[in-house]
Amino acid sequence: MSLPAHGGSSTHLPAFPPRVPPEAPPTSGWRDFAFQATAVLSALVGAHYLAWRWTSSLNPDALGFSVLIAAAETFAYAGAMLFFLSLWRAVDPEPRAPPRTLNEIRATPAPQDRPLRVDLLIATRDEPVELVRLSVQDAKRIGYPHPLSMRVVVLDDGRRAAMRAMTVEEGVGYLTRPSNAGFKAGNLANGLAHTDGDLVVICDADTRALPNLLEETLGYFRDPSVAWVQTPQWFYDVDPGMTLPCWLARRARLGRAGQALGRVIEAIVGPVAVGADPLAADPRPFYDLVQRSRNWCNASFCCGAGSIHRREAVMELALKQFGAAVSAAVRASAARSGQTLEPEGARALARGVARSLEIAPFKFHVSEDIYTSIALHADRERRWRSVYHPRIVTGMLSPQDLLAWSIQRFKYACGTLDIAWRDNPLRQRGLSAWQKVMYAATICGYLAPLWTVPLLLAPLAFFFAGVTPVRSFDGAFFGHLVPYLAATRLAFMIRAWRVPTWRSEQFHLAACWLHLRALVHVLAGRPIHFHVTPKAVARRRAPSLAAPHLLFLAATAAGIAYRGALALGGLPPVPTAAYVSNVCWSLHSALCFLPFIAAACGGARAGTAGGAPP
Amino acid sequence: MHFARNDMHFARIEEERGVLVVTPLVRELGAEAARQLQEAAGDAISERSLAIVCLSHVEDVDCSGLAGLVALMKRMAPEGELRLTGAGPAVRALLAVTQVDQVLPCHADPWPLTP
Repeated sequence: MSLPAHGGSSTHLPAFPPRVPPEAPPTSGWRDFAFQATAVLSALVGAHYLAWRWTSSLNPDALGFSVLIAAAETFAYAGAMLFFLSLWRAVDPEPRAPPRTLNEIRATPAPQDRPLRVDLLIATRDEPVELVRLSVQDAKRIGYPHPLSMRVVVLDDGRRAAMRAMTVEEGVGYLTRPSNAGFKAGNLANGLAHTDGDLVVICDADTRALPNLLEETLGYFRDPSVAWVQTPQWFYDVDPGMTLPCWLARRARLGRAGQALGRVIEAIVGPVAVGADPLAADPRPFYDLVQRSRNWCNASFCCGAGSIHRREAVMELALKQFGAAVSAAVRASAARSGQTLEPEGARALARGVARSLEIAPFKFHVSEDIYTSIALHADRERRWRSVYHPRIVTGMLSPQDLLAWSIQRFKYACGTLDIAWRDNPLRQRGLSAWQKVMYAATICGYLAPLWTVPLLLAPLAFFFAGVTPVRSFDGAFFGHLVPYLAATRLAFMIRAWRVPTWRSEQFHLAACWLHLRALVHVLAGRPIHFHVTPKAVARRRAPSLAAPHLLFLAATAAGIAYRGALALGGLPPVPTAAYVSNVCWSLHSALCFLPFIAAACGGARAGTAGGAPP
Repeated sequence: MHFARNDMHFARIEEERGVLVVTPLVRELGAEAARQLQEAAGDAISERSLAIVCLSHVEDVDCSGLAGLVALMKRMAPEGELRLTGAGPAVRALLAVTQVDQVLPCHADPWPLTP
């Protein structure tokens, strides 16, 4: 199905919501327990494998290579176990009734109680006016069971007359500022400075709110320590694919037998959607697994849109950071002058410093959402809480092609790695051990190429140089390795029950090159550009994004042929087990890369945009 | 452009012994009142070297209110000083915990002054 390109007056967008939003599978203590047991099993079997690997399997003929690969395997094991730890429990927050008045969300009552004030801020820079209009219209339809003062405000960093005219037509607020300092964070800060809602809903230009957004989420703020509530982001335009029974019956032309077979398979492995989400844009694995597993230890983080914030929490953090920066500057100045300042002199200095500093409610950073989350979680005086709400209350457009997808992922990777490099959450004293585990797992995900790339390339070393990372691909090797891999897979399958993860696993592996570039970018201290993730573009082919993957495929094919020819020639002798193992391993990698390569070369779209195919 | 939810005359602005004294007449100094304060007193305070904000009518100041006071201070002359007076214990605690007290000193009695 084709869709006209967004932009200008020809903008055509699907009806919203195009279908009932998917529900996350219910949490279950039994599933948690089954996962934990299997994860522990996989940790033990993995440790056993690695112990054997280091003591009994290193190849003396290629010791350096062998050690390198064993080290990569060890890091991969540590990364997988950290990931499992971050998925330890999935607990949903207790729903609470929507508050009637301000005092119901405050620790100390206000002198005058009143209905709640909520500002819904829509940040935009260059998105089409008509796209923003739809978001505005949806926002205006948001309901609430009690009197509520809600205002919708468009924050336009594009300073466009047409956007202003649209807001006048729709009867909502419009704010601009003289410069785009701080990008989205600066734009939001400006919005906050000119509004007065007790709670602030942050939306991107394409965030389409469902009418129950506030009714479902404001109850959490009855706990006065709740600083923000993050809701799942739902890319409603992503192709939901065809169910396996349907696909087997119709496309594979197997009729009733196919349908029955599909049902049996789905009963065992959970729902399978064929052809779904060709761009791995579906964020359900992230929200339904990662965020949901962080609720219980207060470590769910804010994702920049579809979140509701307590103004006081945001402002208090901003003031504390401002106050701390002033103190630091005064101390530094005193240290430079080598004498203690008189109180009066210190205050004069502080006032001077304060004039040059901004009170920045959202950290001016490419990943301002995670940064602010870490800072609030680490506030030892307040012990702010975050809530991840498990049900969908907004929809957004997915990145529309692989280029947009790559820009977004590169930005996420750089932002997270930059935080790890400059302000490592592991060194924040205010974070609990579990919160550190959770943030470490997020960072670790972006460091994965450090071990996945050597593991991916290992077969090439065998094909071209004839070296193997193990002494022999024999029964002992597989006897140690397979139980570990099987236990790990089983544990993940239990945890991810009914959550579609396969596509994002493929793309996560294929993104190793992108993440490696992000790591180099951050370590080299290069500036991170705040590209707005393009939301409205035509489908573009970007084969260069898949150049490393195509090169890998070509090298693998050449390698298989080369070593195969040598084997046929008989000189030098090639162990069949080593050859077959390396061929299987590189074919597995190649198959994982295929959807990514297809997306780059074929210009795959995220979805049909029109919703489910009939 | 501002979005005031209601508009009322709520601050007394007067000149005393050559010093500008601003007295908000609200019980809460939050985001809304802070902005109204800027509108009401911003021009009068600009380029001053000393001003006093008297919080004796104010029962509650939140962080948006404090941020508004800092913004007011920034409109003063380069060395300008904004003093707070009449602040209750909760406000003083908030000033201390955010370390904003070094920028907005709080005095039980701001007089005598050395302008």
